[in-house]
Amino acid sequence: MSEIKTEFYKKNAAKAIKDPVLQNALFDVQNRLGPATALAYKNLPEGIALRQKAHEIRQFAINHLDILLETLVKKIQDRGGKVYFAKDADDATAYCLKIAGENQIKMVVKGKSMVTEEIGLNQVLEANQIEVNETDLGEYIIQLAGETPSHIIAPAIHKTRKEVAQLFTQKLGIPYCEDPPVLTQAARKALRKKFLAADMGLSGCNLACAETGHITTVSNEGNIRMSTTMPKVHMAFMGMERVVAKLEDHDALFRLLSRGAAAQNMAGYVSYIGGPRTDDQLDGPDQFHLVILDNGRSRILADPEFREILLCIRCAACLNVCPAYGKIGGHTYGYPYSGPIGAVITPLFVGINRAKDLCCGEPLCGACKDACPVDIDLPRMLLALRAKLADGDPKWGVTRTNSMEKIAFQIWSLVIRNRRVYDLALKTVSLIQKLLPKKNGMITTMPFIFKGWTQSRDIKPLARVSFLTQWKNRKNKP
Amino acid sequence: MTGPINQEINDTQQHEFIMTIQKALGKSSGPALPVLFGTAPDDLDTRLNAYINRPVPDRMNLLDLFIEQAELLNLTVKPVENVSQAGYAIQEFIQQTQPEWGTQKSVIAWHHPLIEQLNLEKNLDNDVTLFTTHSSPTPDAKERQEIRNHLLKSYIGITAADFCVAQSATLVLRTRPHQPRAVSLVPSIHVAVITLDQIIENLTELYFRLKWDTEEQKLGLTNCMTFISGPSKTGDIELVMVHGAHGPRQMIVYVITG
Repeated sequence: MSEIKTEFYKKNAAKAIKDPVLQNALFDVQNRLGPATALAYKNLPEGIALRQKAHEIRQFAINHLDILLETLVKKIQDRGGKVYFAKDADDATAYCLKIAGENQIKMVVKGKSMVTEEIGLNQVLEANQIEVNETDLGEYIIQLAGETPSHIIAPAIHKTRKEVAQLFTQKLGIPYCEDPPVLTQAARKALRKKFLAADMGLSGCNLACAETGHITTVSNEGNIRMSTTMPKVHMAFMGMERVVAKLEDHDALFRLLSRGAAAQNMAGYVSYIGGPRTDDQLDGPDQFHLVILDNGRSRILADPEFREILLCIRCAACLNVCPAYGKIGGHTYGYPYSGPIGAVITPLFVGINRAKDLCCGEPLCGACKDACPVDIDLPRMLLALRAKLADGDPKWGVTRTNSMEKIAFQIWSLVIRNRRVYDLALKTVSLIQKLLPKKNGMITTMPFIFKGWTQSRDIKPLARVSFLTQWKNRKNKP
Repeated sequence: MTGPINQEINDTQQHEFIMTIQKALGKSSGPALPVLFGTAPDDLDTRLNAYINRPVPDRMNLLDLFIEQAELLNLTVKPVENVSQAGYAIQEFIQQTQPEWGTQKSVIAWHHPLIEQLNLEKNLDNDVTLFTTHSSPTPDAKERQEIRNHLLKSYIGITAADFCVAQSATLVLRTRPHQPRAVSLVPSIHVAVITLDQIIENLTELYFRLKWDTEEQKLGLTNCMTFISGPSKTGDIELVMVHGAHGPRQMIVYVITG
């Protein structure tokens, strides 16, 4: 299991907002990728409507998940691949350890994979004296720094080139240099040795294809090709939802994934992997293992309200447009998945009460839905989570977060339905507000449960004469 | 290794896993496979025919589109009239370039009919070693290690390709005997040689042909089909684009147009 730190959301958000380096980095990534992705969708021959088509493709796949997985697995097994169905994180990591043990693996190379972050694979391997080398440059940087990814696609986006230069000088012993090509070359050199020495390569899975029986891996650096080609054993981890039915489904999905992730027409490398090396081939792994992971996904699948989140292909487009992510950064979310996708899926994985601040912290502006390559209605699910927190939900084991809130809204509902009571309330409030501290005609501090409203901004006082009264007076004038 | 008892446990585990999914979906069984994977379209033959027998001017337009898209990716495309010109051009290229690691100029090339026609070993400079990945029907560990050693020494890897998708400047490579996939990955420079008729328009065409053309069906996707769109790259340090993260730093495609 990955370490869960969702309880510290508020504290970490406050810290992140005060970090000028992080603010610059987040601004930069959003400013560059957000609009570029929107433009890339618009420039598609099919236009943005392709997103709806992709939604239908993913929806269809999720609705037939059972039979698609069985088909995928059968074809991979027929080619000599081994498939393991893991019900949770411990199950998956135990299988990985078992295979590593059988093959006397001392060192692994690893392509970027969110699902292995989710199951905390690195920690388990390291605890069993297996050296783990992250090979995506961003992941490598944060592994050297002893941190966790802050962005799904650009995991080290919170690090400046100065920090990377210092880190590489310290850990790789190279002369200090802030030039990204020089730093990249240093990592290339260091990791090349690891690729060639490792006996086992680990990867995630971007999209599997049931019809042909392949998983696919996508990268720009070539590190996943290295990890899945050079070592003797390749083990891929996939969330059980990452399969589609037909080969041609990949047409829309890869074009959208590349655009959503990095505003590219097509990612640098896509590999269709369907099994180990055959006897007549010269390279490729002798063993291919696919671990298909549930880890809470079947529970989401069973709830029609949240099933849609399983359509996600983890491109991070929603991170690049989210105003909340743009200020608080990925680490604040306290779990590998950040941004709007994290705000929906993390509560469903770790407990809605435990991760309540994540779904309450998102502004419901809808930018994530517009940016999503498969048109997932994230705001709808954020609201659904909040409704569960407001009312409680036995099915998800949610307890109501604040019973006073419910009572307050019930009173409010009574007040606004009764004209005379409402007018009386207005009058009372307009008298009370005279006592509150003001600056430039704005109220600066409100008391009691209302204090949150003036915590980071001033609020306009109620008008002396309400609109309704003004309107009436105007009409009565000759 | 996995014995029969382990296999049984695995099967039970798979069964339970799939049952859980079925329960979550609230159903007992899915539709038959043809419905899931689609049926052949009525205009199948017309479409395939139009793809396969493209008139030359259309092919030249696709080449232009490929060149235009490749430029955006720092992928160099060199049209040449015939295979011997391609051979000369590659020899010249080898002369002009230097290895990234060490000083020995080693080149590794696929054992492939098109690459054989390049006649690279003829008139090759004395300081260049050329290795071709020809292997026995079932290469053993020793033979594979030998080829791997050659691969690691080489700074240029020469391959053919199955298709070239113009719209995204993507080469599509199947894995076959004599054609190790690392040749397009480990050397610092990837040189690919293709013919004009291998250039297709887009992914839609690619998947259509892979799925419905009987010749393609026979070959299948193999156990590893790779799409390559330009040299290796990263933007992980402050989003600055750098080529040559882990794969080739440079990539050149020679297109034989004649």
